[in-house]
Amino acid sequence: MLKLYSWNEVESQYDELSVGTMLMPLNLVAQSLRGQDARVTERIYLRNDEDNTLYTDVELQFVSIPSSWKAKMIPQTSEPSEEDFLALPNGNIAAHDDVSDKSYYPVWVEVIVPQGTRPTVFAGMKIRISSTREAL
Amino acid sequence: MADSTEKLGKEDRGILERTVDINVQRRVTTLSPKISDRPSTEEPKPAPERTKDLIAGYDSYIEEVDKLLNEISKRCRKLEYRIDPVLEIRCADAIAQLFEGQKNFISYEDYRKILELEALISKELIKREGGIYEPRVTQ
Repeated sequence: MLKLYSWNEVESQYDELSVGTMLMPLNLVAQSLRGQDARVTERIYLRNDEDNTLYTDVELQFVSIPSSWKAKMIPQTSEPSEEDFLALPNGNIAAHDDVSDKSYYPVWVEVIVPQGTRPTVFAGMKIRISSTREAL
Repeated sequence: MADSTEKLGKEDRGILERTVDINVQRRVTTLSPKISDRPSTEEPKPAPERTKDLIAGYDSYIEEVDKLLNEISKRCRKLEYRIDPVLEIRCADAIAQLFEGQKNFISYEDYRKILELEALISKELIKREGGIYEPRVTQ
């Protein structure tokens, strides 16, 4: 199964992001000066945890993005620039190469919280992974 | 929030969708101790060496600097930000203690250095996060 992970620096391990339980969500901290949009970028990882399985048509997308927020993602190894993200539409569908091995593939995410948003925690947004699975 | 569905087409093929949980925390950094709005007749001075050292390590200590800035703001708010020499000294003293840990008195020269450091950190933050730097010292 395709899963998303974050890197846990303290434990030096990949933590699988939870699905529906909020036990291990992707935690993003968007911080800015007062009166400015808050931008946060983070690297997460896509991984196939099954043997002998090929995933094709892999697509990732933020869903349930709050109105006036921006959330985008780019699957690539090197860190994208702000301009790279700027060129993408909000809530873009990020196509990923086929996955057949069990490597951790980096995916960069960007979330922009608009100025005027009260400092608080939002837990309504999600990342959707869709793919076609084929047994090898 | 669970949303994991699998629709099988052929025997060994299927469309799989999963949604992953996210928490987004919105934080605000306040960078405007109004003590630095105090009119100054002095020419800007080059940043002291200690300031440069702190800034040089900025990238490695972004979280610490953020905490520091929040703490500066918090402490200055407690001191009411007034343009009052006594409060200025107290506020500067509070800031100095953040830097020095033990110090409980600072000179006006040191106070100026702290303001310069705050300006440099502000510029650095704005450079990283966008926006235009507006000097706090207006005269």
